Formats: sequence, structure tokens, C-alpha cells
Amino acid sequence: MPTLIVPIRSDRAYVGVAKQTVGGTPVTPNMFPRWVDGSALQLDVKAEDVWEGDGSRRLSSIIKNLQEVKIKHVFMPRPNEIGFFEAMAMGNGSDAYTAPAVNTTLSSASLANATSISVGANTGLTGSTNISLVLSAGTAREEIAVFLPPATGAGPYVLNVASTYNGGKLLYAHSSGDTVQSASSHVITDQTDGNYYTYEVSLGDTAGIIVRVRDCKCVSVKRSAKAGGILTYELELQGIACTVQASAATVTYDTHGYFLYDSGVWTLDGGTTGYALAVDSFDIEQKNNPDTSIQTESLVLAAIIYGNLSVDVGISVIYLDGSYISKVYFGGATGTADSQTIYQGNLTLTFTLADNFNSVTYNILTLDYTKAEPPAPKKDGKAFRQPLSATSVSNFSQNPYLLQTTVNNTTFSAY
Amino acid sequence: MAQLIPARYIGDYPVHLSSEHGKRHGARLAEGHTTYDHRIDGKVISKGDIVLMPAEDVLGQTFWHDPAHNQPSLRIGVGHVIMPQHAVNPVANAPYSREELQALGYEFHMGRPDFEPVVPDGEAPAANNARIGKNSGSKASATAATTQPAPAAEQPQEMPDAYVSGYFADVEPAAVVDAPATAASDTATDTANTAAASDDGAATVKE
Repeated sequence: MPTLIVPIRSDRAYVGVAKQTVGGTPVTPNMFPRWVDGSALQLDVKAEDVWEGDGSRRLSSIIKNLQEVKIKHVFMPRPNEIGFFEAMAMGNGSDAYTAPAVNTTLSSASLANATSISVGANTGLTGSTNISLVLSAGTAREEIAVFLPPATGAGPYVLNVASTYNGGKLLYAHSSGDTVQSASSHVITDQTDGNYYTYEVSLGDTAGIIVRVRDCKCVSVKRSAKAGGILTYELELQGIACTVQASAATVTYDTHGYFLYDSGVWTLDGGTTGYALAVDSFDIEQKNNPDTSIQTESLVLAAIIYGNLSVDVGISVIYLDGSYISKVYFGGATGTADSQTIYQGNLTLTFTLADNFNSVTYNILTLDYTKAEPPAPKKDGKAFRQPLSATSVSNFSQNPYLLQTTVNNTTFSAY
Repeated sequence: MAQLIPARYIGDYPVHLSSEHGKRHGARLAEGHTTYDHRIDGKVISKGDIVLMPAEDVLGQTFWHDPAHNQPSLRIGVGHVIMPQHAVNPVANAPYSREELQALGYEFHMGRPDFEPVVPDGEAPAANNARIGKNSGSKASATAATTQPAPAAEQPQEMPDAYVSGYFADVEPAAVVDAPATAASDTATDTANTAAASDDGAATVKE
């Protein structure tokens, strides 16, 4: 009777992350972005052949010089995850957190299908433009709904549900005392060094192996999306040391959806028309260039520190005219000959979830364009497409950041 | 089999408990549970819900790695604990500092910052708060204490045989425990806790 083997499905895996408060002390992961293909755990050994004179031609032995861990993590981030990973990439103290402008509570319970709510304070609710608020944040009754200010009354105040949301009615019941809040704001900018993070990668859970990697830092992150697609992050990290876990983590997922490319609003080189409407894909790649050579008395690294920062932008546009070629190579939109002048632009790009509450905005103040590749003619007659390349610069130290990411979500504390 | 303890979710936003990485039992406020023996994997949990989780996920765990890399690494236990031979620094005649313990090879893992252990009635929550403070990023349990659901005080009525119910008392950092035998001092196999997780990336830690 043949003995069957027991293979393990290649999708029986999870990737978990947690922020460490101090180097050398791992933390059990609490964030588990849903990984996609391209994610990988890589254990590298640098080894040395040891040749000793024993009269033979044979290699004596091999020793390990260094063992290191690299992780590639590809995923489509949710609103609460995106702030976490932006803070990871940007560095220590990168999150300038602002509490919600609207931060009050329900003065009385509201039923499902209610057309208004009663709130204790009207701070932030005195305008007349629809506003998205989260009711009962963090509880089983959490609901993001749209309301139409102003809140009326002398306190408590009555705030009506906007007609554009669920026909003007709440979906769920909410209890008296439940919170009523607008989105929290996380303005995240590049810093001098990064925090350490713990990563945990399961390859087959306890049937396979679960490796927890301490003291990871972000080597690079590429934020990208293409027409009709989903905003995707590709992180590369370097870790220091591993321990194998005896049991699988309690895997928990953010319940929100991902950011769709078609929700993007572009301001490209100061304009919202023209090429700002012609982008069919983009990527913003940040490289922290960490020093991964700090090894002292152990087989593994002793520390990792960030090196020089680079933020490169790649944009693919539908070719509308020769303006980018003229600007990048010939000194300006009406340039006619080779020019020393670097064409400078800028970028503001915002993605918003359908709830109009959770959003992410990328802001680059100065983009030095280095490439506007002339498109190649093709006999198939399809539209010309033109790749553009640019690099974010400090503009002689005038800019306080190379990249600023602003995240609005329901995480009510700094990352 | 990992020992399970009840832990309350204290995160900012609801999360979906995966159903693909093993069964999970607990109590969900939304369903009015009064015991912890309900299957809740695959469901959304929110602040105040209780999940039976491996103790080390909530309380953390301690590993010991030989600084000379001669002996295999050991998983010492749940929480932050040390071996008896490291209880006192013989030179200073005082407990080792955390940094000194790390230099001796200890690796202290913190628990999840978005869960806190459920404190049975009558126990002071201060120790819990202190530990949560060490798990930086988690909210203080004050809110959780005031909204602690009734099920927190009750033990499960009927638990699956594989589970061990109960509450594991908080251990302060550097609490002394009976450590598993090290390879240098005891060549006999420790069948209760054979382990080999080393910085060299070797494999498996089992309990």
C-alpha cells in the first residue's frame, strides 16, 4: 500500500505586522493585510568556503558569515492599513495626527431607518455642505453615514441624514452615548530614520512553518495603480533575526474596501485638465536605502539605519501633444533646441472610498522631470502612450518633505 | 497545543476574524453571548468582544538564545520570564536590568497591542494597564473596564476538550520560573518543552 504525502496549499499563508516600541523586542502581529502574489520571505546566508592545507584538493568546510532576512510584501491596503504602512516607510514620528473636527456623542438612541440623530455638541456641524461621519466607531454598530448640516437646536442638536445616503435613513440602530465623529487626519512625511517592526510569515501554518522576524525596517515601497485597477503597495523590508512560532496567529482583517484607481483625483503640474485627465497608470517609489552592513558579534545584523531618501514618480499618459517632450528636453512648452533647464512640476493625487470618508492623498511639491520618452509609432494605429519619469527634490532645501501622505480614516491615534 | 485565554479586543475599528487559520471561540457583544464557547472565526469583532487566544499572543513570550551560539535556543514560556540562574546579578546583588537580560540572551516578545487579557472579577486591573502600557499603541483599559461585558466574569460552561479555560496571572518582567533544562546543564530530553529556535534560522519550537 503506497504511502501518500500531505502537500500544503500555497495559499495557506498569512503575513502579519506590528510596530515595535524598541529595537530587540518583537511584538505579536496585529495587522494582517491580505497578501497578493509577489509576496515572499527570503532567508539569505552569506557563507565562506574554508580551505585548509591537509594534503588534499578537497574543500574543508563552509561557515556562515551572515544570515539575514528580506521580506517582500505586496497587498492592496485598506484605509486603516495604509496609514500604518505609510508611517512605517516614512519613519519615526512621521504622523502628525489631528483628532476629528466633529467629535461628539449621541444624546439619545437612534433606530434603524432614523432620518436624523441627536448630538451633544455642534462643533464642526454649522456649515451647509454634506459631511460624512462615523457613528459608534469601533463597535458592532459602526456606520459611516452622510449628514446635512447645520445641526439645529440649542443643545442637544438635531442633525439630519442627507438624502444622498440610503434614501436619507440610517442603516443601523445606535445607542445613546455612542460617538459621532468625522475622519481623523494623519499627515505623514519623511523623517530621518524608521522604527523597527515585527513581521510574521506563515507558510502552511503549523503544518509548515511560521517565522517571526524582529527588527524589520522598510527598504522601499512602491505605490502604484493602473486604469481600472486597485491601489497596490509593494514593500521590501530587511529584518534582523527570526524565531519560529509554535502556533498560528489570530488573523484579523480590516473590514473596509480598497482604493480604486477610478476614484483618483489628479492635480498634475498645477493643472486639473489636459494631462491630469490622461494618466493611465502611475507609481511612486520611495527608497530608504538603509545601511544593512552593521554586523558586530553575532551571526545577524546588529542594527539597521536609513540612508539617503529618494522618491521617484513614473507616470504613463495618453499622448496628447508634444508638450512634455518640449518641456523636458527643449527648455519649455515652446522650446526648440536642447536646453539645460530642468522642467519642474508637482503632484497631488487623492483616492477616496465610496463612503466619502476614508481617503489617501499623495503630495509632492517639486518634481524634476528626467524623462519624457517620445512614443514609438506603431502600425496598429492605437493611441500613442508616453512614459514620464520624475524625481521629487527638496528644491534647495525649500521643501519640508519629498512626499507627504495624508490619510483620513477611523484610527484615532497617531501611528 | 497552545493554551488559550480570554482576551478582549480594544482596537479602534472592527476587524474580520479569519476563518482560514483555525477555529476561534469567544463571545460577541452583538450576539449577546455569555460564555466563550461560541465559534466566532469568520465573523466581525468589535471593541469589547472577547476571543480565546493563545496566551502568548496576549501576554507575550520569552525566548532565550545562547550569546555564544553554542546551545540551542529555548522558548522559556508565556509572558516575560527568566530562568532561576538569572534571578539576581551576583556582582550587583540586584536583579538584572532589561538590557542586561537581553545581553544574556533573553528575547522578550510583547503581546498584541489591540487585545488585553480579561481580568476576572475581584482582580485589580492596574497590572493589566501597566502591561498594556508596555504594549505601546494599545489603548488603556479604562474604557474597556467600564464597558466590560458580563460574560467576562464567567467561565465557559462546556468547553471543547482540547481547550484549557482560565486566566493566566500577569507576570512582571523578570519573574522567575522553573525553566526548561538547558543543553549545557542537562543532557536529558525535556519532553514537556523540547525546543530549537535559534538565530541561525533553525526550526521548530514545540510545546
